[in-house]
Amino acid sequence: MIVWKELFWVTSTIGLFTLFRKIIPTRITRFIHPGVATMLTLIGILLIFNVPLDEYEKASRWISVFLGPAVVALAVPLARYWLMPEFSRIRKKILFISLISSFVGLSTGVFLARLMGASREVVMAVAPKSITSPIAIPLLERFQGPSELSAVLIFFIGVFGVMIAPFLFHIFKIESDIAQGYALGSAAHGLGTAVSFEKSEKSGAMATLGLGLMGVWTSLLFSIAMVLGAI
Amino acid sequence: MVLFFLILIFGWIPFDQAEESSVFFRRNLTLFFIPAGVLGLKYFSLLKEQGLALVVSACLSSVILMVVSGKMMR
Repeated sequence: MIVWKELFWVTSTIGLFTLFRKIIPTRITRFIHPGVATMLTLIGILLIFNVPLDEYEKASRWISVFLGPAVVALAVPLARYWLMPEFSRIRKKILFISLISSFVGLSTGVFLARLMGASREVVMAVAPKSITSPIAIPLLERFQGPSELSAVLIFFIGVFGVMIAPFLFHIFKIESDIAQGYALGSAAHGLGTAVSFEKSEKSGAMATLGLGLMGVWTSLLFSIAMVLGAI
Repeated sequence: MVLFFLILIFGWIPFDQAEESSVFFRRNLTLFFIPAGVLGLKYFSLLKEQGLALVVSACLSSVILMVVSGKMMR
């Protein structure tokens, strides 16, 4: 009985995602991403039929278990593009820029949350919002932070970033594939990277670089800030 | 990921071999994030209390971050 329920939720999650990926025209996937559409549909179904969340959580583990390996698998395009001759000139630049990016992401988040009178717990949840969740969750757990709350925020920020990106790129004239991919990967991590890969492989590779380096630098800066008591 | 990255850079594992298995994960990357998003529903009441500060600061910071990193990389 339980097994059938789990099978049902796993099948419907994968099925809906495949369906939306087929029927939503690529022109508008930048605005309504198939992943977001699947998520909202599932939330709708769960609410309408009053399904206990544990039931979905238990079943969905079969899918989210792939999240860790998927992030490790990102090392392949990362290494391939890192070794490409056209990237060799900007390697040091990327390392340096990503350090600044991660400082900007961390400090503005913490500063704004404080400014709005957030509690320390909420500040801790906001701080790692620009890191991919498989890196952010264990990081927060180590410091006894609100890892589940942050996981939700991180997903939300990914969705928000992917939706707002076309407008920001237009307003601020960020046009090259490289710059767009890097910005999406840094600010909207996993989902931004997924969207960038749909645009072009070079863009996706830059997003992967952004996501990976943001993860490494921000974990480091976050740990230093925690030890110094700045958060 | 860092470890795997270094292993690949130094050529300890042939690229073709790694490529084959990583394609599956990359093609379906978005799918693996869906459960985390759906389960956000659990924290709905908590988000109502301090949610505004949480969401606004995170969004504003992300906008700044995205513009700054996009501009720097140009």
